[in-house]
Amino acid sequence: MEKKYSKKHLWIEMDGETAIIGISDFLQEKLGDIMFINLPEPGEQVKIDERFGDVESKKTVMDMESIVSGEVMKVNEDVVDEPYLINDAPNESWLIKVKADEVADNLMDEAAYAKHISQPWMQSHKE
Amino acid sequence: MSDFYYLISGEMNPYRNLALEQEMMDHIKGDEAILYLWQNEDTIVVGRNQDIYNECKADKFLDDGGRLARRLSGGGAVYHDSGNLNYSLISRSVQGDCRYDRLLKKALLLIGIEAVYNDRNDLTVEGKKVSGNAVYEKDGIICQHGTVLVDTDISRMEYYLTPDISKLYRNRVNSVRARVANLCDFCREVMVQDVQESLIETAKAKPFEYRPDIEKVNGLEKFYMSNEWIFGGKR
Repeated sequence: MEKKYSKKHLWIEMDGETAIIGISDFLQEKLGDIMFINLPEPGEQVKIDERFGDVESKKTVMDMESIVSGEVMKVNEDVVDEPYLINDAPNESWLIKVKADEVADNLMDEAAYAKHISQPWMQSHKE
Repeated sequence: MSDFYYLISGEMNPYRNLALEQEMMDHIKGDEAILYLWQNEDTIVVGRNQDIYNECKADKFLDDGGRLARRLSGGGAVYHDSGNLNYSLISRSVQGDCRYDRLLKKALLLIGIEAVYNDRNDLTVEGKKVSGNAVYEKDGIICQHGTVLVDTDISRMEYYLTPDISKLYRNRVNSVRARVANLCDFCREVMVQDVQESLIETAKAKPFEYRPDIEKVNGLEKFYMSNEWIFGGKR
């Protein structure tokens, strides 16, 4: 399945009507060691641009805003129990699966996202 | 050079101060930075994902008149009283002067105290921790905040905080007991107000004039006061 990316570094894969959401490799590297992740419960609604969870790394706590609207079907309990899985394998460690009523219309494909994160001001965390 | 603005809170109430700090994040324009200075009376504040009962003698502290709070940023439990100054540096970037570490180090040097960051990123003087910090990020706005121990009642702090019994519960974040000291141990006459003034001068900050969305602040205050958040970490 092809991944698309948001400006705020989440990835999404569509499997029929189900949207699978995760954290991009760029973001996990920027965050550093992830200690904790808070996600919604199955059955909760998420909405485009609204907070659906947060992630605590050694450096920061960051809110995550949704790129789909719809009902949360599944939560990846493995990453809740062992958040470092996201650092180890960001592309496989999905966070939530959502029955998507709507998907954000400003997502980027792999190439556009690679260009987005290569901009100089995006690289500041590597200082 | 960013345009720095400062605001000194007149409140000593942790829930109000945390609410004001969070609402302030909605007011950042361009490369402006806000330096928010605030204090809480007799309060323990735990990090976003900590188990409050592991971190402190929570019930005893409440019985003895203290207040418990939870912040949105990560890291360990801290104790606040009127001898401690909290700073928040709110900005869109953490480049250049918009870095709490540079700002604080310079500000302390200005009052004659040489401080260094250790490998845990705590600010220390002669090997003792005088300041801790944490970061919260929302929608591209970054809030770097921390404590500065100026003349805090450290024996009270050490009595109520219990990082030693902090145990690994799922993946909650544990505090580490650090050797702490007050700035007044190194520079006798220093007061909270001196650190405030020095931070403002170092940042060359102008007074921040804005109109907070009072309804939003009230809502956030209610959230920060709720037992679901303080004890359960439920947002």
